[in-house]
Amino acid sequence: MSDDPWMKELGTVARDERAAPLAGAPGDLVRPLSAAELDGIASRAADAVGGARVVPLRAPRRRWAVPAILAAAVAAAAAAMVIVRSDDGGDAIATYDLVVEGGARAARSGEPADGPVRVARGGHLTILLRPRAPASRSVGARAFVEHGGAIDPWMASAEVSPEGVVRLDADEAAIAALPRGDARIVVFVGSPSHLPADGASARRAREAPAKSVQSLAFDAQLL
Amino acid sequence: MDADAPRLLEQALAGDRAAQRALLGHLAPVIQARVARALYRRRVPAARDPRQELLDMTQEVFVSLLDDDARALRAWQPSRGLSLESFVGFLAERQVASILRTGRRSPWKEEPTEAAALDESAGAVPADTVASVSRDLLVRVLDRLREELTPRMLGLFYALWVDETPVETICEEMQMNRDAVYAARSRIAKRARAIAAELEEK
Repeated sequence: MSDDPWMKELGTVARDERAAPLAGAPGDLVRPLSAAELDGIASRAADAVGGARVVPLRAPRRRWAVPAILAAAVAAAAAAMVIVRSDDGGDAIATYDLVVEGGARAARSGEPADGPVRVARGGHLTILLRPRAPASRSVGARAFVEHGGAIDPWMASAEVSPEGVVRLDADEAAIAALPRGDARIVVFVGSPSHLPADGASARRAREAPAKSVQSLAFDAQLL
Repeated sequence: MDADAPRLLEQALAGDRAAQRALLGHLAPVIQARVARALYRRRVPAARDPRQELLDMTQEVFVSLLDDDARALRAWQPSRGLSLESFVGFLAERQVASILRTGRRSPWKEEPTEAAALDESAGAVPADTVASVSRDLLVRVLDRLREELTPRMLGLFYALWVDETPVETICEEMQMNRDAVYAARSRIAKRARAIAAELEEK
């Protein structure tokens, strides 16, 4: 609770709004949605979202300029950078490379590393996944955190360029969601419909990679 | 959530239309309540059919949950303190607030204000000016906060200033440490004042 009187007043307004009865509202607003109405909404919504959305990759925003305090907080390396390749045969997706930005220097898959990516609360990380050849079809990406034997979805948001470059932004909230200490960030990239949706399917995907999905991982340490 | 809800959510996320319909049925009362309250506050013009407005808004909210490979729904983590219903309720508040203010549909595709960006807000209303701030202004500030904050930050706003939940309880329920709660509290308050300053200038 805050002692800030201005915010207390704002809270009072919100509380009053929430407590205000809807009794005077038109019946059309409060009458429960019928099964037919719900059918229509669900059908139109499913049609509206269709397939996976591919959005242009934005130019880096100013917030990604790494302040000195963050640069000091983030280590310069990614230890034990692990790339788990899916089966590259057949119609497998292009091989991806991973770059982690947000430290004094970038950490790259395939390069020697001398420790985990270290990040403090309040920091940010950008994870770039670049195909070695332009993607020929729509791809998506999803990140997970592996810690203490568990693997859980991570809330880093993903954007995909038309060329298949994936940018995952881990903002302050995503960093705060990391367990304190060591963890492994696992990123799956590939066919949107085949990406793991939860921890259980992520674990299965790690153990038995599909042709259409590649997983890459790096160690991170929340300070 | 009831016992079947996690499985229902998993199937809906996998693109199963029947599961998505069932999930909508599960979440519809939450979404409708938030939409109806917002529409009632704004007094939908008589020329518009309130039922149709309700249906359109509910559909927009549901689309926003499923859009971009259900990015919004996938962001929900039960371990972080908000129930699925609360999480969706906050998303609905944000969606509806944005549509009502801008008149544009699908505002979800615009990025919400992220926590760090809250610090960059210019202008502020001093803390000792509460007496001079009108309730109307506070209502509009509240609408903008609903529109801008992420569900988690909005949940924090409600916990801190609406429900007046002790910080210790918030830490436990939302899996945050005290410093993170205090930092978020400061940012939300700062952003609220900046919004007030912006609105007063208009």
